[in-house]
Amino acid sequence: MFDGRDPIYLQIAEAIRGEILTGALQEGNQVMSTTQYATTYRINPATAAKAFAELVAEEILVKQRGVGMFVAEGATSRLRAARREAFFDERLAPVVREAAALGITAAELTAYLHTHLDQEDDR
Amino acid sequence: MTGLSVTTRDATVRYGATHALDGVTLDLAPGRIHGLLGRNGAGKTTLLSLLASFQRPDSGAVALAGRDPFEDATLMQDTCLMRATGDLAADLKVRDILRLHQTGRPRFDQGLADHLLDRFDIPRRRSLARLSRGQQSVVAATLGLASRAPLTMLDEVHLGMDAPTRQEFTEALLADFAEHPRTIIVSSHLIQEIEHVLETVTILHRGRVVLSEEADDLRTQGTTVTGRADRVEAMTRDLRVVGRRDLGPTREATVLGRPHPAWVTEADRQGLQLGAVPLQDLFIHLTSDKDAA
Amino acid sequence: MNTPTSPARSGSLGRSSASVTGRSTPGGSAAEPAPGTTAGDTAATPPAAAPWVRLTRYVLRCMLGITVGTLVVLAVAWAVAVGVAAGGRGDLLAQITHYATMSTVPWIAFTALVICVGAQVRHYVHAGFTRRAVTVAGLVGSLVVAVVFAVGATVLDRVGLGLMESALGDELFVHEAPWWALLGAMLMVCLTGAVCGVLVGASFVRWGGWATVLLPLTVGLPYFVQDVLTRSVTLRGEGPGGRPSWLQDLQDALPTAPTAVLSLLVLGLVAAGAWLVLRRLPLPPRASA
Repeated sequence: MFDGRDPIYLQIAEAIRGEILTGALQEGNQVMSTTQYATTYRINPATAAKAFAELVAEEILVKQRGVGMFVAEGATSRLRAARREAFFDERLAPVVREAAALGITAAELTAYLHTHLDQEDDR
Repeated sequence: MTGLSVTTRDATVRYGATHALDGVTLDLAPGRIHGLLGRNGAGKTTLLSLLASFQRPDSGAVALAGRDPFEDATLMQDTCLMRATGDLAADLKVRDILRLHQTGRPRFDQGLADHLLDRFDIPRRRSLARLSRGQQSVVAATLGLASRAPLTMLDEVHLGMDAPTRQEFTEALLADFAEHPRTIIVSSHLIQEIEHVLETVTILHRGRVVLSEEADDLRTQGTTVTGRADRVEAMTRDLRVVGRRDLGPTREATVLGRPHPAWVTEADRQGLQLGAVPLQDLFIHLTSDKDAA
Repeated sequence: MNTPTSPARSGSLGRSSASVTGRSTPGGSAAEPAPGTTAGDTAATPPAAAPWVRLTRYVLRCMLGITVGTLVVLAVAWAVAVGVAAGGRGDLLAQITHYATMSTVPWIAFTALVICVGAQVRHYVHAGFTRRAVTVAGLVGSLVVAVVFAVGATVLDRVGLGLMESALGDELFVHEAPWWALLGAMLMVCLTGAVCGVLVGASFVRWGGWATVLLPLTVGLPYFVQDVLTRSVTLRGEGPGGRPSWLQDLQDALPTAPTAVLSLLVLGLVAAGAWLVLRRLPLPPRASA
């Protein structure tokens, strides 16, 4: 667990984002306290708190004083939007660049995408 | 009060001709969980015994919250060093040992002590010497947690505990730390078990500090490269490889240093997987005598 | 599972932190500590007596446990002696009992202080006490034990011996010294014995087995000198009582006031010795068994 190259708190934040995107965590759901998170996964409470602070700053989680942390309204769509942007910038842009370098035409690329997206839909 | 800060400056301790500690300079922030790692005889216990005022350095200085703790009544009752064995009165009954530590520590939480001792079925009317090694460790760890000392040091308290017991104590430690923040120094050989509990890591080797850093920064000090052996070899030829492990045709190489982004892209393209260096590997590398020269 | 699973509060929290301290409300709405702040702050040190006061109480309780048993044995010995004496003969037994008691009492004090203070320095420091607190608790504990024992011994001597005499219907050897002199002498001997106990125990912690070599200095000489001095008060003007004549001459020649000063000096030296051994006593980590 937590064996990625990023700092642990980023991995925790990413894991929670994943939970929200897949629907395991619904908007309005309460999330564990840092203490519960720390003891459950046996990590430092400060690390867990740092992850939650990151998500609060992104408005994915909201804090209710004296009650706890909740998944923010609109968190799912905000996450989706952010992921979509990242998908084009970080994933697709390099592919397009490399395709251009290899002399692959736009038509070839779109044809490939169509075929594969159709297969994806059939599944 | 969220814990005591720890400072040492050039702390040196000699036992006869050997240097147990050789010019240790260290700063540990208050209110965090610090890891103190080192091989047997590296000087961990000696360093902790200075902080606990068991002894003074032969030269250099030690300060807790900016003050010399030796014979400072407030700092000494606020500082607790627990080891699995050796310091507790083995001929006393568990309940008498408990009473002594309750007498000495105004913050002692009897409820927490009772809870932990009950959970692990420790007989209170039996003398410590007649308990098993693991049970003795449970008593020491319980005293360490229940003392709620603003500087709590747990030196190999897991010795003799079985895995589930160790796990429960780690959970108890984290829960109590979250509720009652304080400075905690943990020393353990079971690095993998405590790795994510630590906020900073200090490694001692032969009485010297070889490393003292934020645990998060430490994770970026190296990379594991996993994939087809020939590709791994090609990619790491010019890098500082400190460890190799083979599993069939797959090789995992551990390299030190922060990889260049272009290198990362290339490794990714070749289907190699990059991971964080386990603290354990870094520790073994930094404290291996082959590399000392 | 390799990734953190649902952090939803509704999920199963089998290993909830709350159960560890029994403070929070598991599954309830425990307050979420704001990141970066320290909710549930360690409370200010609860009001507690000064460390030396707490340690002295602990030491007294420890000594109570050790001495009560010994004192019961002595009391039984007295009862038997009085009983035998009442049966007609037995004045020798009565005398032996009397002297055995009087010279044993300081050693009970010595033993109690070795066991409850001197030998425990490591454990007391480990429990958070300063060496200063250990020394003060040792000296105060010594004083308490010495007062109790000296009063007890004086009562035994005056009342107990009277009981024996009436049981025997015979004259027993009774000190001619006034009760206050006897009380003072017993106090000084018991106090010296007790403080020697602190010194001896601490020197064994400091030097291990080598402290055996120091025993003549840490208890032998000071106790002997104190014994000679105090007996010069209690035995003044009495027969040799088994003493060599030079000792009797010496003790009879000592005036009371200088004797008291000398006696206090011996006590002071032992106490200073204990403080010297304890004040910077290094307690290097012992190899774990």
